[in-house]
Amino acid sequence: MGAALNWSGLLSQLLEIALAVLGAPLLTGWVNQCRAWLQNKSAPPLLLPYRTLHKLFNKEAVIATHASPLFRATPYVVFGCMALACAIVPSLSTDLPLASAADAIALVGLFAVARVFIALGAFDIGTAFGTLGARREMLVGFLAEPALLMVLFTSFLISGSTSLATIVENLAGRELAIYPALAFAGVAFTMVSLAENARVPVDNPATHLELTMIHEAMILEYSGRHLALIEWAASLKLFAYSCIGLALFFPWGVARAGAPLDLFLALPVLIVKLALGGALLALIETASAKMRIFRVPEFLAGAFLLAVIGMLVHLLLGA
Amino acid sequence: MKTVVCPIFAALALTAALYHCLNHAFFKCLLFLGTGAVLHATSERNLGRLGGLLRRMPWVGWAALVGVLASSGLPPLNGFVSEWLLLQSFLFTLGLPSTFVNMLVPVVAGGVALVAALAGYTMVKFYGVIFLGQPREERLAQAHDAGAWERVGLLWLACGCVLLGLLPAQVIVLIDNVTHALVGAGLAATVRANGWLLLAPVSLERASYSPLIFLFVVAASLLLVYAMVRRLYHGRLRRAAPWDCGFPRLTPRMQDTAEGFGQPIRQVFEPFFRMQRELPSAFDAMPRYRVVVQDHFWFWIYTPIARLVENVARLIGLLQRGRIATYLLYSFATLLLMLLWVRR
Repeated sequence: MGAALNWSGLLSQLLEIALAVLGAPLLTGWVNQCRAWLQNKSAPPLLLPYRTLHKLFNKEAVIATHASPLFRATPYVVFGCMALACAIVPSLSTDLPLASAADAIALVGLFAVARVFIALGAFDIGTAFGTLGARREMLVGFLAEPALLMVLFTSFLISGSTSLATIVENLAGRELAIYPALAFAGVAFTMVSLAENARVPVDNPATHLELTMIHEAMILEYSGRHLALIEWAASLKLFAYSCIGLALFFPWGVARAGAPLDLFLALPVLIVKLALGGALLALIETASAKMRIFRVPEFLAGAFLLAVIGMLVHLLLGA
Repeated sequence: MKTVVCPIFAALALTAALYHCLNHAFFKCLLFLGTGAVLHATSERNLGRLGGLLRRMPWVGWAALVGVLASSGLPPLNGFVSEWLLLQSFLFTLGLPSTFVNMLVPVVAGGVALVAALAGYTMVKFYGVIFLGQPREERLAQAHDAGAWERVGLLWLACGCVLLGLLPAQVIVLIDNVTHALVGAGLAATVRANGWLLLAPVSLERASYSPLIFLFVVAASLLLVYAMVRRLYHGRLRRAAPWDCGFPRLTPRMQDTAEGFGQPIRQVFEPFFRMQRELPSAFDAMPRYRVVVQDHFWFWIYTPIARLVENVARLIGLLQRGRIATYLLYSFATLLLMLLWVRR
């Protein structure tokens, strides 16, 4: 710990948190814009998510008469969890003092904390929609979590560490080669992140139609600043997942420890990578149709099997 | 004494197992006491007649929340520490001599992850149905909170869950004696070397976890956001009837019951259960739903054994007539047979 507490580490850590918290709504806006273009609609402004957040924060929060403190605390807890998640994913630099506090397994646990709290918050009001959303979210979550862990296991096996910073240093430091194991894991990771971020084949972030929604059903009772925090946390989650994907499968350009000037290069590289990733996400969402809720287990079982195949490929071929 | 092939891996796995036993003792007791307090206050064990008790019984409710989060294996509580150590021990076993076991171990780890996530699902159901939502029965309004000594009983277990989660390095040093006695190695030396704040069972490069820093960062960003929102905007709050998509006639019966919440699991894992469903038609004025869920193994293994034992017992029952003359006849016949056997 002592060696990690240096000024450049602290600086890159703060820069990364600030970038995530302030930049995450921009990524959401960019994905929405790309999706509108691809679907031949007139695109919403890029900064629309910020305006929505500002509007919601200004509004009075209306909550149900019998809502418990748990309901009111949930948006803050979820936001805190997502902020820590963004802090430990090496998006700009691998020199992160907080990375030693939580490795990739703890990161999965962090997402689980947010999910459990938001499901409990949905339960608290006792409406049919809220509990329906909580039920579906827990179903998707409990199938996605093992698949995500298997994806991460493949990268643990390749790099010999469960710390995300070490994994990225290890993967970025190698000469450019194609790892078949990582290719399988990458496809599995894409599937899991679509499910975890309530994206189109699994859920639809743009709808308020009761029959198709999971995430939106859970947050139906939130309004004002609570809703703003939950929306913000959702964009932070998308940002964190995108950065995990980039860190594991396209780790080049991330600044290393001891080279703080690399941050100036890492920032534009990250922006370009995120822009491409967001466009790809919009493309996937446009090209696929929402599936029935009971097809989701098959989809996620497919992701799990792909991740297992990736790991077996690594163990058998050593590649 | 058998020699242990990889003592440090064995010590890691054994530490995970022992740590989990300790954790399990704490959160299981806490949850049992919590449900006991609910039973005491409402004299009700049926989940379908509970609900909304967090507002009636805040002490029990908040203590049970700690137990629920701990047993779902969520950081920074104790259940996560043992889950983390267990997953680490799965990942570190790669140097094993047998390739087959090497390949099997990560897949089993995936199974462990599935079970841990399923525990979260169950715990949300347990807590949501009992403590959250609206009371499903009117008499739940009379439910009383735990008494002073009951609170002590719940609180010290909840504190145990929190402390075992926040100070894993100290607990592992205590477990070290046992692992030394059993496999001849322990984690105390490496854990001590990294200080009390950071848990790194093998080395810092491989894996590290610090629940205190974890909790501090989440709590700090939570409070910072709270303060910023109050400062930059406002803290106005209004209470109103639940929105529920504009539906006005909301009743507590419309909430998910425990059966309803578990329905996706029954659907997804249908081949694993033996299920009988009776669903009413859509036009039924007095609909009746009936679902009976049973275990396949009960019918494949236990029932045949039970039937076999029963048949054997019935055969023996034919001999047991309950008349002293019959038993004397049996003794006499046995004696005769034995005498004949000795003579031959």
